[in-house]
Amino acid sequence: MVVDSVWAWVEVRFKLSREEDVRPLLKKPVPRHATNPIYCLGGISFLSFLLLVGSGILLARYYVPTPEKAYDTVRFIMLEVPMGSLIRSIHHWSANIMVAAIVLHMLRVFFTGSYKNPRELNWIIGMLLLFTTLVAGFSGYLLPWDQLSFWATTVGLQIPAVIPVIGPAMLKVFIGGGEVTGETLSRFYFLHIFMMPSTLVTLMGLHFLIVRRQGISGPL
Amino acid sequence: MKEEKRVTGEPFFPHQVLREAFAGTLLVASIVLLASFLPAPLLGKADPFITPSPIFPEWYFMAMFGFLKFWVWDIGPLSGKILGVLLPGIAIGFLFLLPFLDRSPERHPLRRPLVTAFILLLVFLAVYFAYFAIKITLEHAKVGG
Ligand code: HEM
Repeated sequence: MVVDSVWAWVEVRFKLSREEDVRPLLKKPVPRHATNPIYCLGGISFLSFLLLVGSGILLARYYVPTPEKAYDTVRFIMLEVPMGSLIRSIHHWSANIMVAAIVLHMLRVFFTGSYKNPRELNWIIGMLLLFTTLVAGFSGYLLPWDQLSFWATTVGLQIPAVIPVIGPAMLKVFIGGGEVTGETLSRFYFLHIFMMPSTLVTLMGLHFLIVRRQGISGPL
Repeated sequence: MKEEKRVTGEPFFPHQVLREAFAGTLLVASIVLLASFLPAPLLGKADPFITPSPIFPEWYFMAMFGFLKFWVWDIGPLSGKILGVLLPGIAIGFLFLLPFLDRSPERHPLRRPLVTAFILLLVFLAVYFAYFAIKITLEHAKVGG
């Protein structure tokens, strides 16, 4: 079979199925208490993220982040592109479910006391993951450039504006002034498709490495 | 530390992977169903001169939005507006530092009632202020026509 010869080619070069490497990876025991469904919420957040990346890449094929074109390209995606409406709606729902799953995951970690020594750092990384996800959601909300996204962003930006000194300075850097303009749109687009996803990938990598290294917390 | 005793269980592969595949399939199926029957909305094109009403932020910002509308009182030199951001900021700061503030090795939520009460209070306040945000936004929308 072709598959066998491809596998053999890879195997000779990378020794992927070496017993002592594979055993700890695949046969690592999962403690009985951790098979409770509340322990899969972290995995659900991660899978939602993968769906977001997949559908987001497809959306980016058509979307143009300028005040003149943004709305029309989203309309085009909804009405003309084959399955465009489905793809955009999958992106929409995955985003909402990701935030919900993260919040529930956090509550699980809280109620099982899993943030305590030695897992303090992973709690902090988790908090950063939460905030990065929220910024990704906020920046994404503006992109369709419809009445809702424009005005919800205008209202939302009043929050950082209140913070003395750094608030207005932050707005200048990240938004390009105090008002929502094309400048805001292009900065949010950059945040949304580059800064936040790459930050999330980095933080998730650390998060998972630490979980693997320390093992899941014991039963209550 | 008593929690570090080694627990035996089923191997990650295939037992746990199968369970996760099951949960993952459920998730994807739910998202595709939701996306098919409740597509993402798209209103009219943004118009900086026409403020629609009511406007809602995403649901996960609703509590923050509600608190800003709720807190109108100045305290000393701090204006109500600043406190509207500062007070939730302090609560979030506590959450960030939780592992360093709550250092007892006790893990069961009922055996650390103070911390558990703090989290339950936060959850309750978040739900309440989200409700408050929706209520007040809808009232304003009615008055404003
Ligand atoms: C993008 C968001 C996140 C992803 C993808 C994620 C993923 C995961 C996964 C897969 C696990 C393994 C156990 C489980 O699934 O329950 C885990 C554990 C953990 N997570 Fe997260 N997480 C995220 C956000 C958070 C947040 C917001 C917090 C808390 C503030 C957090 C704190 C922790 C801690 C402390 C553990 C270790 C738990 C234990 O050993 O029992 N994570 N995370």
